[in-house]
Amino acid sequence: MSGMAGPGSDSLERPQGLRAWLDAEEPTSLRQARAQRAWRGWQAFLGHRLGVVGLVLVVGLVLVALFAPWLATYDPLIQVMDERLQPPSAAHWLGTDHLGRDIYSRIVWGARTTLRIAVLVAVIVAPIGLAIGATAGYLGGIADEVLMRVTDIFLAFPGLILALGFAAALGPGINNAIIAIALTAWPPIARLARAEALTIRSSDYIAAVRLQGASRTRLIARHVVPMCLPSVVVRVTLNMAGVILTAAGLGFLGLGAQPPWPEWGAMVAVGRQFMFDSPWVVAAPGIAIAVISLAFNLFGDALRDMLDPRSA
Amino acid sequence: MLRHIRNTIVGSTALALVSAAALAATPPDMLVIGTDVGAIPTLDPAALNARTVSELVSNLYDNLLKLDPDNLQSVQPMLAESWEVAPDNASITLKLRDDATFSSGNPVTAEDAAWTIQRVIKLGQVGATDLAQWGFTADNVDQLVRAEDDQTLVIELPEQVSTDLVLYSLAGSSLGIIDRQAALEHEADGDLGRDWLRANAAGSGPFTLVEWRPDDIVVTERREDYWGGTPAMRRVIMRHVPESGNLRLQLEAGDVDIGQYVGSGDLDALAENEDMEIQHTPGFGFYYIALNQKDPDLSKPKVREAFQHVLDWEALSQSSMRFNGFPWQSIIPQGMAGAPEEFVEKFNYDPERAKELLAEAGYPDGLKKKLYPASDGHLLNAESLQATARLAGIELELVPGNHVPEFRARDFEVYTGNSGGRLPDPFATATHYAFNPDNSDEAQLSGYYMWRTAWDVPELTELTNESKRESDPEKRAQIFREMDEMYQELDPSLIVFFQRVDPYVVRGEVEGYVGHPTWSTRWADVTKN
Repeated sequence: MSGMAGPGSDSLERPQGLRAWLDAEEPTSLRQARAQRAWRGWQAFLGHRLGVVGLVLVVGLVLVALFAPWLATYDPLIQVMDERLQPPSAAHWLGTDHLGRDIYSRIVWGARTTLRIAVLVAVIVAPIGLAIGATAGYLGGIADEVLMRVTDIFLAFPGLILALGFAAALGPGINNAIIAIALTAWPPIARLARAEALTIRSSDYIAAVRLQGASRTRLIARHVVPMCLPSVVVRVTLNMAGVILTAAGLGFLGLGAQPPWPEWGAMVAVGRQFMFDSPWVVAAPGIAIAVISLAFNLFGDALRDMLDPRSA
Repeated sequence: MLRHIRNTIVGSTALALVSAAALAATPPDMLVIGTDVGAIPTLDPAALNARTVSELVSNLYDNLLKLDPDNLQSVQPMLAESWEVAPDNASITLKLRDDATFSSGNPVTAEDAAWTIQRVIKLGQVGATDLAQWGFTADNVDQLVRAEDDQTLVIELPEQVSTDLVLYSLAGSSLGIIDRQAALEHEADGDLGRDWLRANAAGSGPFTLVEWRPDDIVVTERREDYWGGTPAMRRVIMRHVPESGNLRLQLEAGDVDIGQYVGSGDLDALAENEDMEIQHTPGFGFYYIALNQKDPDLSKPKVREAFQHVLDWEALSQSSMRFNGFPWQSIIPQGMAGAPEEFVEKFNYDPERAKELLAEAGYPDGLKKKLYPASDGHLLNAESLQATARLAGIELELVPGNHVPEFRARDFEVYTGNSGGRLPDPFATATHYAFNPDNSDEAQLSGYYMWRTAWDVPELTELTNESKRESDPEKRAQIFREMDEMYQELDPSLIVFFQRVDPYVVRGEVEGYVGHPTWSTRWADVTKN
């Protein structure tokens, strides 16, 4: 754990050194207090071994997606019919599919598709869920009733079925798949944010802010939402596994990314035909899906333990 | 945390695995056919033209005539013992056998046969397609088709038409002879028994319908008193096994005797299995690329020609098309009058040539179009086309799904699919590929593929009409040769690459199951060792 000095931090100039500054008994500035909290959280996180494994895998996914053009050994779209359904070998690390395309390269490029879905869904879902939940929780009354009943309607259907319905109605395509998944993923977030907001709204500091004449919008945006954020982040991370599985499910059913673009779920779907004689065609993308959803779960669990004040 | 992990594992495993149901091995007097009975909307002969249901109906009903699967041009007697064509080719007289009975016990009479033909025409559903081409209409069919006595049926032809074509059409599964009394007993609101026959059978065939559960199973039982002798199989069952891998496992385990619609990957493996035989039954249709002529780019002859060079059909014939077709670049099916003796290569796979042609047509930077496969079964071919077309500078955006409705509505750009027919004559494929009597949108002639692509060549349409009228075999062959040549010279909107083959996987102990090119495979002669 030595050598954790973060580059770009001006605190390096301090004579006591970064570690001492972070471990100081009494923080002397707001910035130090915040840095210390993050530092302790990080240490707690490192103690969570499975969580670290999850984080490493998630970071790995990001790196693979970023550097796909350099990591892939072949063009993922080039078909070589003479080399169809080849088992894993030195030339094709994970074998080839039914059209003679290199599976390893398709998995690498498929990471981009998966990451794109995961990131975009998170970016869409978290703000919507937060806004609706915090507003409903803080305002209460009619607003709460209306917003929560709408949320209930969405929650009343199984997520995958609802996503399927939206994807089918919007038409196949990766952007539509993202919209469909986002439409089904925000209600649990809103529920969670509302629960947090309910406990926050009667706290003294909120009353103080209100007495100072802050507007409702300001109150919710600046004082309620930040307090809901940690649990929402945990929730979104834990949901990522579900999102990736749903995305793979949509791809499997032909409603996700469209051919020839590699998408793990769609790769499993076409590989099914060749499953008995060429199991690698299904196994490689199947394992990729399982590993990445597992990684998000492990990471999310560790994150929850770290951010949850009750378990600390 | 464990709960999340478990959910993840269960979810991803369910995605990759499909459970295989274990069944008992089939008894010696029972035939189990693993197939796709999912798309059967009705058992009414007048309303069907699809493959699986045609086979079923061909065993519940008898036809007046039948076609020998090994020699399709030879018409064989069935309910009709003999038939006579008038010297002027204007009428056909059929003599029915007197010992055939329906499953209800009623005797089969010429009255039933006449009523069946009249009914098909009056209902005007897909089953009427063939007969309607010979000029029969709801108004004239009562006068033209009539029973002289219990055993004599007279069919007068409304216009000049090759009598062979008429005889072939009588052997089609849509003209299974229906028990008139039984159907009329269940008639509701003058529907000619249509509602009742949807889920019931009233035929004289060797098997009777015991149970039909849509999307699950069809159970049939033999008739001990069948006029053609009691079939060896006590029961024949069609099981719905839509998943190819599942079907393969069941075939290997002996739970299923016959496999239909097995995927190409599984066929590769079953071909290696000594317990199985794969029958390659040629069909009257082709695998093609269709170009919508309403599209200003695709209607240029040079662009159409370019598309002839963008499919690597040789590679496909070794992979996804290994069991589903063979290379064929003529619109006359192999072995038919006017067809080339053997495969003739008229265009090769050459993306560079396609690129040149596109440049000559005014698209030096290539083209961007949408590609619609007919169904998921065509996805492999479509993906392959997409990749090879890219090398020629044609960017095809693939839209997976079932796009037959868009094709019928002329609402597509590039389409890939296959055709099939039940009439064993080049006239049948000519009506698909070289017949378009009215190219307007309002005409709605969606039965003709040439209309679907909005390609209008009156000369081809005229040749097709001529082939219908002509009875002399030599002259007909000449007409089809001329048609085929003209078709290719014009750089057609429907580019034919393969002739269709329907693979049937048959387990070794089954004898006498012969896949029929017109989809009327009969089970009466099937035995098992």
